[in-house]
Amino acid sequence: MQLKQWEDSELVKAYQQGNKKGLEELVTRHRQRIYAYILTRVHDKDLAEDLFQDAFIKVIKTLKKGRYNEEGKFLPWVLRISHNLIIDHFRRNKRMPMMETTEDFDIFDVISDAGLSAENQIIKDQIVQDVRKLIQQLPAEQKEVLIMRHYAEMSFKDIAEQTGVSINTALGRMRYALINLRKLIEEHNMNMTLS
Amino acid sequence: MAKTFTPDFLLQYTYGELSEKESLEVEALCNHDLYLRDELALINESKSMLDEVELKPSDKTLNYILSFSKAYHVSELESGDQVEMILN
Repeated sequence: MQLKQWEDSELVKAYQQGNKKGLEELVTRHRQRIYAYILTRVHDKDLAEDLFQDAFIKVIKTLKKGRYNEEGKFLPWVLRISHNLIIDHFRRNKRMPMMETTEDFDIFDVISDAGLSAENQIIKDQIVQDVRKLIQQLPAEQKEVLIMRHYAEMSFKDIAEQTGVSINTALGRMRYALINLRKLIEEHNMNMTLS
Repeated sequence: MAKTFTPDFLLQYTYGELSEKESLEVEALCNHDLYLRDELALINESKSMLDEVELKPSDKTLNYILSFSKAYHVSELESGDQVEMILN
């Protein structure tokens, strides 16, 4: 059976028993969600990279020392480690995380394509570029909800709590984000499909 | 009283946030309501477009983690203490 089909708990066990591929699959499987989680809180690409790295160094050490005891809850565990690292960072720097999208940072500067077949690479690169541009044109509040829901995989309830709005407002922002994306595609007469 | 489903419910449906019962109700409604069905198709289309791109850390960061994973070892002493080693 391929590693992709394994449960997180099986991958953790395999890694603890010496199979390095176990960790590699866990990183690949959860990197987007964990990275987006950190990025939406710190709004700084370099800092997010550092914290992501620190989180996984901690994961590796804990697993190797046999101190991991949250069977089947790998992702929530890593998200909690990430959350604690974020809090530690801001405590050390005596600065609270900014939730607003700042002008000098755009989260979609760090978006990359998702590993594609060679024949569609050129078309896909163009689509990815177009999508990035379109998302950058969205109002900050809509962009924030879109990233939290789609890339950090937070529920609308959690997004509402984190951004201090009602769930209906969070849903409305996401809906308008998608509507506006569609409008922008039509306005720019873009073709968003692969042949 | 029957629940009123708005296009916002379609978002929760698309992202798997509704209960099984609510999901079935949404599917039944979409089968009969052309407007909701079109809305759902548009949401799915937009979502697929977003799926085309991935938000991830740099390859440098990912490679560092995997290299550390390969180099990091822990040995247990007879005393029960653990010794951490980075082997290159």
